[in-house]
Amino acid sequence: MENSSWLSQVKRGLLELCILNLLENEPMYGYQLVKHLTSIPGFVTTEGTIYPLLSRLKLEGLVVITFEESPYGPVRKKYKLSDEGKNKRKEINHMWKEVSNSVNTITKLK
Amino acid sequence: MKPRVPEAERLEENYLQRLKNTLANRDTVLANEIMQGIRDHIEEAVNESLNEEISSAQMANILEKLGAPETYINDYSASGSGAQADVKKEDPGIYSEIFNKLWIACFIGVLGLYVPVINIYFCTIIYLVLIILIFRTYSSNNKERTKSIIKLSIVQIILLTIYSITSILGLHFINIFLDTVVFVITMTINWKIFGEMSAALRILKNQSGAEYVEGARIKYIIFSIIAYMGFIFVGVLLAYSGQFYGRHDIVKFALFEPLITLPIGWLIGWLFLLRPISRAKQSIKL
Repeated sequence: MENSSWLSQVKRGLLELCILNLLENEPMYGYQLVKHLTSIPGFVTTEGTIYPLLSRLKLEGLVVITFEESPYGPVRKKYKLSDEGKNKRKEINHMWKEVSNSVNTITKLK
Repeated sequence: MKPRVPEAERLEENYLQRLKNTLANRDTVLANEIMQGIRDHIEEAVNESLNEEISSAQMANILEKLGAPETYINDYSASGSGAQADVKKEDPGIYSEIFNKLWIACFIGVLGLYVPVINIYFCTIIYLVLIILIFRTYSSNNKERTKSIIKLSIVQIILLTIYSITSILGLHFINIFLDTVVFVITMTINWKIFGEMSAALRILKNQSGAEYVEGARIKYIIFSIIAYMGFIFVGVLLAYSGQFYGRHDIVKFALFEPLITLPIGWLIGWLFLLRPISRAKQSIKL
């Protein structure tokens, strides 16, 4: 497997974890969420990547949408975690902690 | 909406068309969500600009940051859970099996209309339990709707149990109220089941089948409401006319009522619930 392909697969998996954690802190607009994630250098290469994932999280019931008035015109959608999303976030965070600890242990051995 | 120069408009339209083409073979609900998300994103990015009008260079910059739709949509499809779920969801065999199970559940429900067994709506409760089991194993593309079907079915079982207890206790005044609530919830559950069937057919790209189910669900609701109102009207009319039985002769009324309601209930159940499910199943090409 090429390095870039491996990296993009890892990033995709972690993106869900990051979105759930960012939304745990505060409900966000899609655009706001994208800006947060793209501000981390090298993590999200194209802004559009986030929308398929965000849409899937919504359809899976992990995030819900609230509507808010916008000063620019039409109402804006704000994404926030559902109860199921909060549980999923805890589960994934726990799994991630275990995996990263294991990987750290192995890489330190070398 | 901030104005764009014609060239910027053209760039935006081209981009959205490319996105639409890329999403053409995907789950319709998911595709619409993504499409809306990207539209909102472009609008937010445009509003962030200090210029009165968006130039083509600014629009090109916004779209470049978004990335090529072909890449990020296909990238998403290549990712583990999403890709596997889509492939699984496009398998007609799965839906055919679900529609079969739904038909059996609804058949039991229709068969048991107004037929209390030991004062418990036995068939209706079996129908509700089957609905819960079907939607617990079926991973819908709209989990909120699936969850609400399960929740409503549980509420309905509780209400029917209360209804049975109040019947035994002879609290008919409470039952008049409960009867209406149970009817409304049943309509809502079946409305959502039709919604699931329509969504399933859309996933299978069976547009005509989905449209048929959409039409059938409206007919089902309309005819059920007409029949329900009719039952109430006839019931009240007969109860107060005193021609067939006395004003307070509840027992006679209770015996007489199913003779009218059962055949009509079965007919409506067959024509507007069971037949559409059966036809929707037949429209799935295996």
